[in-house]
Order: sequence, then C-alpha cells, then structure tokens
Amino acid sequence: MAGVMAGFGNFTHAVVRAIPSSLAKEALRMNVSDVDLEKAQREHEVYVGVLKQKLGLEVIELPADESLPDCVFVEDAAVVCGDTALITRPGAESRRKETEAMRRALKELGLNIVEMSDENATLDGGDVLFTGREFFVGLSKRTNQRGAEILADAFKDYAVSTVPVTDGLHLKSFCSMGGPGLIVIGSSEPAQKALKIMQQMSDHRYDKLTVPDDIAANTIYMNLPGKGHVLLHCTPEEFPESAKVFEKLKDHMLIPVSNMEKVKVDGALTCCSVLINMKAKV
Amino acid sequence: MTTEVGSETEVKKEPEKAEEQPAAPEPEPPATTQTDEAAEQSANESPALATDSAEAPAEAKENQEEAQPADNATAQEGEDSPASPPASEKKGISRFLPPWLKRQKSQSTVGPKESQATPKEEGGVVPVKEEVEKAEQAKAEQTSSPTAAEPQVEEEKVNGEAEPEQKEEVNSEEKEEENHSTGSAETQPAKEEKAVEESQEKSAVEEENKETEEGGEKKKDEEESLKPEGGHYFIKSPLKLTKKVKMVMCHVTMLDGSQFPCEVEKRAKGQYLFFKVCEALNLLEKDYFGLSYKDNADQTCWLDPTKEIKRQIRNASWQLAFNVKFYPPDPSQLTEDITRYLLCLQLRQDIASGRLPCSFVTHSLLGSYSLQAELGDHDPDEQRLDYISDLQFAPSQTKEMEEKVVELHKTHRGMTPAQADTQFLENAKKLSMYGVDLHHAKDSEGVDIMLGVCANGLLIYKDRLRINRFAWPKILKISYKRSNFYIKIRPGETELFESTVGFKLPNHRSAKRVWKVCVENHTFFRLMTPEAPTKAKFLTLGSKFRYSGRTQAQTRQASTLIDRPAPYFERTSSKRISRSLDGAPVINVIEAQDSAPTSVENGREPGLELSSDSKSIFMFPLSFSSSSNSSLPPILDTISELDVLSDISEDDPLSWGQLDGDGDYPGIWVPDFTPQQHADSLAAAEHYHHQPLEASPPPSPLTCSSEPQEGSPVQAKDAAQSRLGFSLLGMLTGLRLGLLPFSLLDEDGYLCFPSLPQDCAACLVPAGLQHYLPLSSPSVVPSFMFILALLLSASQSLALAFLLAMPLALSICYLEPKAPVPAHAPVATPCLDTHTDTHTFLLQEELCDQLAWALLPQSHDIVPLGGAAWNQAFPSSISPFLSPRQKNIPTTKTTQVEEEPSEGAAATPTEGTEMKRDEPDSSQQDLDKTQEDVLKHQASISELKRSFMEATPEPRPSQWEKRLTASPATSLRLQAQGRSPPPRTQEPLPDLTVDTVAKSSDDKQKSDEATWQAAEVEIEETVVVEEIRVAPKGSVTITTPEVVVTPVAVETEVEKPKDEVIEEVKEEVKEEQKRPVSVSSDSHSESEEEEAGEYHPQVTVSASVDQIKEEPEEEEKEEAKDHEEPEQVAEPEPLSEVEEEAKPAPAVVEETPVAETETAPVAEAPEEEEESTEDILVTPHEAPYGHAEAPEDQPSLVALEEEEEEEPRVNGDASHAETERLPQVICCSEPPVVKTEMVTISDTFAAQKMEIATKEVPIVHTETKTITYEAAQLDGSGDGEPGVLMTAQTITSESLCTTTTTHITKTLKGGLSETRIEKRIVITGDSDIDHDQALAQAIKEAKEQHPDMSVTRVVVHKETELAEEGED
Repeated sequence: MAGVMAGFGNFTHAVVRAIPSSLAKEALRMNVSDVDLEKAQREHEVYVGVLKQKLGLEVIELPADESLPDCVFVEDAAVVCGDTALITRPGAESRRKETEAMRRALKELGLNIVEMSDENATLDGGDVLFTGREFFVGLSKRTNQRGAEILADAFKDYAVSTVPVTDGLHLKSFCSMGGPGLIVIGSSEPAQKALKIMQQMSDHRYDKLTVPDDIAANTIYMNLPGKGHVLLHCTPEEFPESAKVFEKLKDHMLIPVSNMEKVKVDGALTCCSVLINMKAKV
Repeated sequence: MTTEVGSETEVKKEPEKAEEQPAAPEPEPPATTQTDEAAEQSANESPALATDSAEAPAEAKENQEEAQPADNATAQEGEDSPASPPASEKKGISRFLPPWLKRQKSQSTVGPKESQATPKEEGGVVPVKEEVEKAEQAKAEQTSSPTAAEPQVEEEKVNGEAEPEQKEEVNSEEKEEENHSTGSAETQPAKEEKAVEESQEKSAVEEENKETEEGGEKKKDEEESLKPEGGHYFIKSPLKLTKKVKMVMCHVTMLDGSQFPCEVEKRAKGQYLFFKVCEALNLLEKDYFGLSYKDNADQTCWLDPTKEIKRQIRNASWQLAFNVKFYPPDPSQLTEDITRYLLCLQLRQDIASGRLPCSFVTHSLLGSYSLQAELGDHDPDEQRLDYISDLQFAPSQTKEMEEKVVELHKTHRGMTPAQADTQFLENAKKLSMYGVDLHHAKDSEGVDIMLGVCANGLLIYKDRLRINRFAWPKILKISYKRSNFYIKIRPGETELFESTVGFKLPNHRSAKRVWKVCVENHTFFRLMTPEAPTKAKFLTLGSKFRYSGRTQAQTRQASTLIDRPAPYFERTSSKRISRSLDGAPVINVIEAQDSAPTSVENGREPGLELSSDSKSIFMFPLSFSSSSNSSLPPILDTISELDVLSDISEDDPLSWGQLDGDGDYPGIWVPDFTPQQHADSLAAAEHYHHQPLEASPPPSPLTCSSEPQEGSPVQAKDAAQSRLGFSLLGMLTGLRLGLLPFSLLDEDGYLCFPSLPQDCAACLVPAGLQHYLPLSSPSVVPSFMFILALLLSASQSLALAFLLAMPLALSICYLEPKAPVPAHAPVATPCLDTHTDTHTFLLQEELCDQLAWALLPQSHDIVPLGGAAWNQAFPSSISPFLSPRQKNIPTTKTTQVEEEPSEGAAATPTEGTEMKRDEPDSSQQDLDKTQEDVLKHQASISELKRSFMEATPEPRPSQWEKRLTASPATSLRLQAQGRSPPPRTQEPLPDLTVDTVAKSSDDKQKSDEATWQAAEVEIEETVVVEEIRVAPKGSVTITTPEVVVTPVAVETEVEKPKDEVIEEVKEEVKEEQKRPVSVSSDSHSESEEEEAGEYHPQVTVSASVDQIKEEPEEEEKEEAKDHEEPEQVAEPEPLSEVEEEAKPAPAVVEETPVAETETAPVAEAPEEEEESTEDILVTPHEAPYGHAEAPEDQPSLVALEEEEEEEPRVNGDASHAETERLPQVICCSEPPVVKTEMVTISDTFAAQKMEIATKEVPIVHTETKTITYEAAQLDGSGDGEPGVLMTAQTITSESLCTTTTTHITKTLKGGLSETRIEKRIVITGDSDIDHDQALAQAIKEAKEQHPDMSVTRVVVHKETELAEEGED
C-alpha cells in the first residue's frame, strides 16, 4: 500500500545523462579547474554501472548534448517525488534547455509532469533536499523563493521549508540524506548553520552524520528491496577522513563512488542522476 | 419546564391577541413601521428593553443601538405609563388590548415609577439626561431598595397575573435581542421596537424571519424556560421572582453536514451546548473537538466552553459548527473508532475545502479510503463513477482523480470501515498541513505571511513555503496587542537575549484569535494539565483566557478509562459530506482570513472597533466604571479589550517598535524597548500599577478639579493626574463632558496612547485625545470605553467625578498602606505623591530600568504633550536607570500617571503597561540575566504586588493574562490597582521597605516581598474577600469621603453595570435583571448584590456589610436547594468574604450576621469549608492581634493551603498544570507566577480535576450553597468603627469566568491606618473546580499581599446550575 510518504529511498528507476565533451571547458564551475574529460567520463560510467548493475535500477540514459555542457547533472533539471516530477527552471540560463530531454524521459515513465513556467522562478534540483517527510529548499544563487514556492505547490503533501545557502553552489553541496531521518552534513560553518535552520524548521527529528568535508556530505541513499540501506558515498581517496565516518554506518551497504573529476565542475554524487520509484506510484 | 408550558402558551396567545386587536390603535408609537404585532410587542417590550439595554452592557454594539432605542422606548414607556399623557393613550389602547398589553403597561408604569422614584431617592445626584439613564437609575433604585422593588413586583403580579411573567419575558426577550439577533419571538419584539426607532424596515424583516423560522418554538421554549426559572428564583430568593429562563434554538452543523438543533438556555455556556452535541454524537473523546461560529467578520471562532454562548455569538443566528479543534498528531492513539470517524469527517471537509492541501495521489488515496469506509468493498457491478462524481475528494476533482479513487478503492477489499478510517488518518496525519490552523498576518516588513498554529508550535508560512518555525519549547511568551501578535523566543545557545517576533494581524480580533488558539494548542498539546486560571487573583489586568479543557495527556488518560462497547454509529454517505462541505460550516480558512484582512486594515479597523467598542463600552462602561467592572468582564467585548490591554503590556517592546515587530527587537527603540524585555514585564506590571493609580487620581481631579492635582507636590504626578483626567476628559469629550483643558487632554492622549505605542508616531503627531483614541486602536478603545461607560452611567458630572475619584481613591488606598499618614490625605494629589514615591522606590530598586525604559517610550509618546518635566524624567530615567529613577521619580510618576490613565482608559493604559514592560524587559536584557528566572521571579513578585496592592490586582502575569481576558474595565482597574503600583506604594511609604527593596533590588521579587513585609508591618489591613458566584461582582464602590456625595449616583450607575455584569456572570441573576420587570423586580437580585456594592460607597464599611447580608439571603434561599456535589463547590462559587482585621468594625458586624445565616445552611461541603475557613480565621486572629507581621502570613498560608487542598477536590481543574507546566513555555507570562503560587494547590486541584475528569458527567442541578466562615476575632479585632475614612477603592476585574470586585477601604484609627479589603469574586464557570481554587487563591493572595491581614470572614455562596444536561 503505497501511502503518503512511504518507502523513502526506495527507487526503481534512475535517469542519467552522458557527459558531453564540452563539459571540460564550458561547464559552469565555481573555481577554476581543469577537468580531465576522459576521467570524468570513466567516473560517470562507473557511477551508472553501480546504479544499473550493482543496485539493479532501471537506468534511463539520456544522450549528451554538446550545447549543454552541464547536462550530465540531471538532478538540477527535475525533482521527482512519488509519481510527480517537477521540471525545474535552472538558475543558470545556459542550463535551461537541459530540462527538455528530462521532461521527455520522465513523461515516458508516466510521471505527472509539473512545469515551472514562471519566468521569475528558478530552481536547481541540487537545492532540493527531500528527507522523506519534507522538503528543504536551499535559497542559493540558482534557486529563488519563487522556485521554492512552485515546488511547494507541486508537492502539496509535504512541508517545504527554505534554507538560505550562503556558501556553496547548492544546498546539497554540503548535505544529503544518509538514511531515513539521517542527514549527512558537512562540518563547515555554513553547513552547520544550514543544518540548524533545517532542524528548527522541521517538525521531525533528524539524526545527523557530520563529515569533515562538505562535498563528502553529498551521498546517495537508497533503500532497495533485498539490499536494505544502500549508501553511495565518496571514496577514501577523495576524502579519507569523511570516508571513515561513513564506514561507521554498520547497517548500510556502503558503496564508495569516485567523483573526483565531476567535483571540479561542482558536480556531486547526487547531481548525476534522478532517482524514481515507479512502484511507489499508487 | 412542563409546568411552565401553560404560561408559555398563554403568553403566546396573548401576544397574538394583542397583535390582532390593538394593532390599529397602537400605531401611534412605533406602529408606523412595524406591523401591529410588532408595535404591540414593541410597546410592551419597550420599557423592558430600555431597562434591559441599560442593564446589559455586555452587548456593546447592540446595546449601543439598543440604548438609543431604549431611550426612545423609555420615552414611550413614559408615555405609556399612566402618569404621562401618552401613556394614558396607550392605556386606552391597552384596554382594547388583551391582558398582555395591560400587563405590559403595568410593567411599564412600574418602570417609570421606579425611575421617577429613583431620581427622587438619588435626589440631586445627577439629573438623568437620557431615559436610559433613568431606567438605569430605576434599576439602581430597585437594587438599592430591593425590598421595595420586590413588593412592587409582587403587587404587579397580583394585579396582573401575567404581568410578572411578561416582565420576565420582556426582559429575556430584550436580553436575547440584545445578545442574539436570532432570538425568540420575544426578542423579536424588542428588536422591532428598536428597529422601529432606528429602522423599521429592518426590524420588520428580522421579526418576520425570526418568527417564521423559530419564533413559535422559541417563544414557547423561552416562556417555558422562563417560568420554571422564575419558580426557581422564587425558591431561591423572592427578589428573583421575575427571572425566567429563556431558551434559544441553536443549530449546530455536524461534521457529517447534518444539522443538530439544540435548545439551550439563553445564558447557557458553550460547554452546555458542546456537551449536548457530544451526547448526541455519543462521543466520549470530546476534548479534541469544539464548537465554532462565525463572527461578524465571518471569521471562524471557537466557542469558549466556559463562557456564555450569547456573549460570544454576537450575530443573530446561533449557528454553530462542530469541528475538530485539536487534531491528534497520532490518531491511532484515539481510543474509539467513533472519534476517528469524526476526525475523518473533519479531515474530509478540510481536504475538500482545500484547507488541507494534498497531492493528486493523496487525494485519490484518501478518497479511496473514504469510499471503503462508507461503501465497503468495491462492487464491480456498480457504476462507481456515477456515485463517485457526487462525492468530493478534493477542492477540484477531475475525472482522472475519480478513476484513480475507484482504482484504489478496489485495492482496499476486505477492509472494514474502521480500518479504512484508520488508514485514512494514517495518511492524512502525515500531510504537512494536518492540524495546522492558518491565520493571515504580515511580518514586520509588511510581507504577507501565514501563521500556522499546530500541535508542535507556531509555523510561519510565506505563500506555501515554511519560512520559520517556532516550536512551543522555543516560545517563552505569547502576547498580542491590538492587532499585533508577539512571540517571545527563548534565546538560543549562543544568544544572550530573548527575542520577540511580532506579527501584524488584520485586526485586533484576529490577533486575539491567534493568541487564543496558541494558548489553547500549547496547553492542550504541550502541558500535562491546563494552567490554573488566575481567577482568584484580585485584579486581573490581562486576559485571563486559558484553555480550561483537558489536555491531550489528560484526554488520553481519560480515554484509557473508557469502558464501553464500541458505540454503534452510522457512517453517513460521502454525498452528505460533500454537501456539508458546500454549505458548510467549515470555512476555508484562507478565504476567511483573506476576507477578514481585506475588510479591515489595521489602522482602520482599530478605529472602527474602537467606535463600536466605545459604544458598547458606554453601555457597560458606566457600570464598570461606577461599580461593576464585573459587568464588563461578562461582556466579551470588554474582555477582548482587556485582552488587548494585557496584550499591549506584553507587547510593549514590540508596540514601541511595533511595526518592527518581527523578530528580535531586542533594542529597537532604545535598547531597552526591545520586546525581549518581557522579563521586565514585572516591572512593566509595576508601571502599570502606577499608571492605574495615577489614572485613578486624574479622574478625581477632573471631577473636582484638575488644577489641584497639578498643584500637588509632584508635578509629574499632577501632570499624570491631569493627564488621567484628561484622558478621562478625552473619553468624556466624546461624551462632551470634558472638563479638562485640551492641552491636558493631549497629554492624556499620550498617556492613554502610550498604549498606542505602535502608533507612537500618531501619538506624537496628533493632537486631541480623541484622535489618539481612534489611533490607539482597539486596546485603547476599551479603556476609553470603560471610562465612557462610567461617565455615561453617571451621566452627571457628579458621577463622572465619582468615577474619577474612584481611581484616585484606589490609588490613595494603596499609598496609604505603605505610608499611612501621608497617604491618608484624602486629597488625590497627596495620594498621587505617595504613589509616585512608592513607584519611584520600586522603580529604583526593581523597576528602575524598566520604568526608565517605560518612561522613555512614554516620553517619546508624550513628548509633545508632556511638559519639560516629562522630558527630564525620561532622560534621567533612561540613562541611569537606577539612580536616576529617584531623580526621575516625578517623571516616573508622570509616566506612571500616563500609564495609569491609559490603563484606566483601558486601551491606552495597557499600551502604557506594555510599553513599560518592554522597557523593563530591555533593562533586564541589559542586566542580562537569566531572563527566564527573572521573569518568573518578577512574575511571582508582580503577582504578589498585585495582590497586595489590590486584592484585585493581579500579578504581572495576570497582565499577561490580561491579554487573554478580560473586560476592559476590570483590566483597567486591575492594572491600575492590582499591578505593581499598589505594592510600590506600600513600599515607598515605609522607608524600611525601601531599604529592603534596595537590598533585594537584584531580585525584583525579593524586593517586592520586602516591600510587602514592610507594608505589612506598618499597616494593618483587613481584607474582606467576598466570593459570590451568584452576584457578579457587585463591585462595591467605596467612596472616599470626598467622593461621598457622588457615590450615590455612582452606586446607581454601578448597580446598573453590576446588573449587567451579573446577568452575564450569573444566568439566573441575569435573567432576573434582564427582564423588563427587572427594572423593578428583576433588578432586585442583581441590584441587591450590586446594591451591596453600592452600599459600601455610601458607608464604606456598612456598604460592604449590606452586600454581604444581601448575598447571604440569596444564599440561604439557594441553600434550600440541594447541593449535589457539595461541598467544596460551595466555597469557591459562593461568596467568600474574608475580613482580616476587625478594625473596620462595621464591616465585621455586618459580616457576622451574614456569616451566621450562611454557615448554617451548608452541610457536607460546608464542614470542610468551615474547617478551611477556620484555619484561615485562625490566622486572621493572629494577625489582628499582632497586626500583620510576617509570621501571620505563614499561618495564613498554611490555612490557605489547607483550604486549597479541600477546594481542589471540588475545583479539580486547572491548578495542577502549574506544577507540571513546562518552565520553558510561558503562554501568557503568567505561568511562571502561577507556578510559584499554585504549587501547593496544584496537587489537590489535580486530584479534583482527576475526579471531575473521570466523572465527566456534567452537573445539571442547580444548587445553591452558602457558607460563611467568620473569625471569632472579628469582634475583638474590629476596633469599632474606626475614625476617619481615609480612602475607599473599588476595583473590579473580570476574566472570562471570574469577576472580582475588590473594595478597599482605608480608615485612620488613632493614627493607625486600617485597610479593609472586601473582595467579591463571582465566578461563572461551568466547572465548580475553579471556585475553590479561586477562593483559596484569593485568600492566599490577599495574605501574601497583606501579611498582617486577618481574614475575618469568608462567605461562600455557591450556585451550581446543572441544567438538564445529560452529559456522559
């Protein structure tokens, strides 16, 4: 019985998109850095492989679009919760068209598509943290209040709270869900501040898992039948200290996934996929 | 009721006849517009109406309107009366007419006669300008001379068989009309009359409608009810003969959309109807539910179970809705399926109306569960879609959704209805807006937001986004001032100061509504037991509103005891539900809110409200001001006003920075002003007190002469007085009574308007008080209303003077205790000086900072008005809070004065108080401080002070409470008296006390205590605590020698108000009074009580005695009735008079007889009570001998505790919570105080509560018990009649269910000043529990306040009305 807010982390499908060669030079980034395209592509292949083979998700792979250097980061293009998909209006103008392919893909999956047509609204999926009980939307450079409002309208079942993101690209640049009621949070001051706000804004109680590195706080949690708690997190090579923290999660199936290259263009683990639970559809 | 039927039928017949026959002739008066019937009725009723109008102040607006009509009616009556020529004409008509008319005539004649007589009696007191006034006077006369009035009534009865009944009917009708437009036929006539006068067309329409709708039934019912009641009254007391119970038809829209018609007594409390509904539903877990109604602004309000329905529902139709009030966070914990079912119905409404938003999927899922619950398994053969389309699953549902619903429905096969409901709830409860009560508001920046009140706290939404959340544990205080709603936030880990977040609500009412909802939700979900109401407190400044029901914890506990087979109930079809939704009781919150906000803008509304309030106030104010603050309390409006005041006080900081409102305004104005200073609320409270005192003085000046005050030593004081006077004048100016110069008025305006703080700018800008008044907004308005009311009642200059004098006298009294000799000076100015001194002391020690802050804000406001002195004072006060204060004293005084006036004015005072509080808060912030602790201490201290100052004065928390409650008048008085000022005054007087204070300066509480002690040592005070349930607060006006002349007029005025109050408070009493005859006969009961109060004014001591005597009589009569639940109940409800010291010999003597009579009747309960009383008495004895020393207090306390223990059983309600209360969350700031005080009591109360809860059976019986406890010492202690009457004060405060009238009489005997405090507490509550507590608390408070005091007499008169509520 799929009820309201049931089965957090239970996904059946994933939408990913290939890395365009334009990513290395044209992709937006906060810090100047050189990206090894091939390395990035290998990383991404591994990433998709984990989703597909290791976790058994049905992965929809969208072709890369050279005109959209950031198209690999599909998370920003759509927010899917339950059987409703909100097609976002990315804050970066250059990424607006990324949503087209995503829209088509999600439509084919039979999701209820909600458009963000308001010209004044911007929302990056990376600013949307869904905890299973509610949404936190980071108000960042890419996401504004209006975008959050539209998200709230799209997912009426849930409380949508706004969290100012003063540092970092997205809200999920320093946090993510590491399990039901478990927020993985970076240890930076902005991250901790954001966590406090979230805790204050929420009617629910969350445990927190603090990791030394903000980026490492971005993980992918799933609760898959037969596999239980699954957590995709950073590799020890990238963030040894943070990786140790994750290793303390005894109940989780821990899957370190390398993300060294994509991080250079501000791509986190969650950025590269849109997870969908088609079974959750009522 | 059955017996009455005959009479009813007769009555009906009569009216009909009258209509048929006389219609033609009657036309002369009103007939032109109205139909014959209407004309007749109007004629008949007109007198009654007039009287009623005069009597019932509660119905402010209506009354106002009515008042005019009443005047007309009175005029008509006069005509009707044989004496007047027109009357002769009517008589002629009457001949033709049936007995009805004749009866009416007779009644009318009686009325006029009485009125005439009254003038004679009163003599030259004041010429009655308006007929209404005459009527009031007549009432007063009746009250004054109940016996005479009674005989008249009897005679009438004899003459005209039906006359008394008619009178009663008329009264009831009038009352009903006033209260409810829906009213019965009787009401219709009254309306007709009014309408005729005002607008004939409207009236006619209304009449027709009413008649068509319910007229016949209602009439019958009412008549029946009236008759039986009348019988009761007879039994109880001859005076009450005329009383009849009027029945009103209520229509409650149930959750399934059906209409539940319920006939209730007109004066029934919300609880009665609610229980009726629950009974009909077979619902045991009823604590989650409530009755809602739409106010005039179409806003949905919760019916307060502890208050009379009619007082809450102002509009004509008694159309209510049964709704879920508290959404259980976990419905699976509900014990019974029926409860879940009802919750499901509510949620379906919420969902269908869009109030509870959910996604498509959720809509479908929930809809499918609804289908399963109501239709069972999906039947593939049926055309589901057809029926489904008739159901409403969502605000806008599509075919797609319906298909989805059916699809899902198929998956629920095998699910029982109960299971389906459970699944429904399990999903619905997860919705983010589940149980969130949204209210439109604006943040400090004027941005539209929504305030969501829920089980966990307060949610702030902007559009659909949650932008902030304040969990209950994070909230230290909730307050509202005017249209602002404030929450004080507990400082975070890294934060040093509390912050206050302010929100702007569309209007005052909405602000109060939010506040109440918050209080209720917090109490229900967060506390183990409800907070103990502050009933016992002498004066309650703020709203006393508290959630009186069971908390969720209690409810769950009680639910575990439910042992019955699952009740069978039929699930109605969704169709029906959908229909209900359409027409629905359930209001789309958003829409409603929108409408409300749009309708009223903050700035505009206040003015409107003020005007309306003012009108109402006029009606009531008179009563309030003169004698019965209690009258105000009964009135919802007044209460709201009080609330406003209280709110203001709390909000002071915000108010200053008002608009800034949101957030943390620690130091918006001056650092101190910030809201955070709430802790300083105590100080603020003190300020309030000061203000009140000052305010009181001003009035006297006004009457006597403003100049003298000015001449008074302390310029500031004088100024304050003048200001007060001015404020009064300003009030009066409306009345055109203004005696004071406009300039003064302006000053007053500031004072009054300090409360306006928010409108500070306006204050600064403007000129006339009048301007301020409107600006001041609702809070201010109430105060003005009171004043106006007083004035109106007095109508004459004397009355006004008296009114003015009263406050002064009060202030004086307070002062006196502290410094007997100086204070004694009858002159208001001296008193003021003393007050100021005390104030200054207090300020210096404890309040210095606060005061300074307060002064500063005030100064800001005042600046234009205030003289150099003010400015000087402010600066000094501001910069150097402590030392400067002394210097500033004058300034402080002025500020105080300003505040006081404002308080007196109601709205302004409160504002001032708030301002003060804010300031103090700021100071506290500065100090830094364990603000919480400080607050608590302060609160407790303030409470003590309040109690000391005035029996009535409530602790600072009370001020907070004020927000919650309260009749404006009471609030005003309370504020003025009860607030810190009195204690301060006491403190100042004794230098020693000051020293002590200084020592304890750090701890304000300590200082307060010290001051108290000092005061105690120096001055012996007798405290007479009278608790009268039946008699509302016949607030006894103790006239100062100066005022003495005026008192009579005042008394009459007071009586009237009292009557009104009484009516409100006590249904029975009210009924009597209300009846047209009431003017003559009805008024008796009330008048008697009131008279008692009045008596005091005449002869301070004797007056009290008279009151007591009267009460006893009633009590005796009542006693005849059986006491069902005995015992303890009697104490609380009944009048408890505690006379501490015998010094006031007269009082003692009087009391003693009463006590004798009273004591005898009660059997079971009495014993216990007696014991308790004995204990009390014992302490008093000691006290008298030793004259108030610390030791005495202890014993007294013990006694109190004992009493409390006993009482608790009966009361069983609220006190428990105190101990349990979470320190963190302070609803109204009072909690802390309560905690301290209540602790001992809590256990017992809890026990009582438990009992009650378990019983759950409402008591329907009407029992009257009178218990009198006298201290043997009385005689000895009473040193005979003391020599010189120093001062007399009467303070009346009203809370939702409690009206407290405190008479403070100071006399100078051989150089010793005696203070005799008579406290009359009228508790109108459904539950008996509170009374005991109230009594105990009152005594306790009194003792705390006056350690030296001995309780000489406690008279408890308890009337328990247990209607035939077959509650389960």
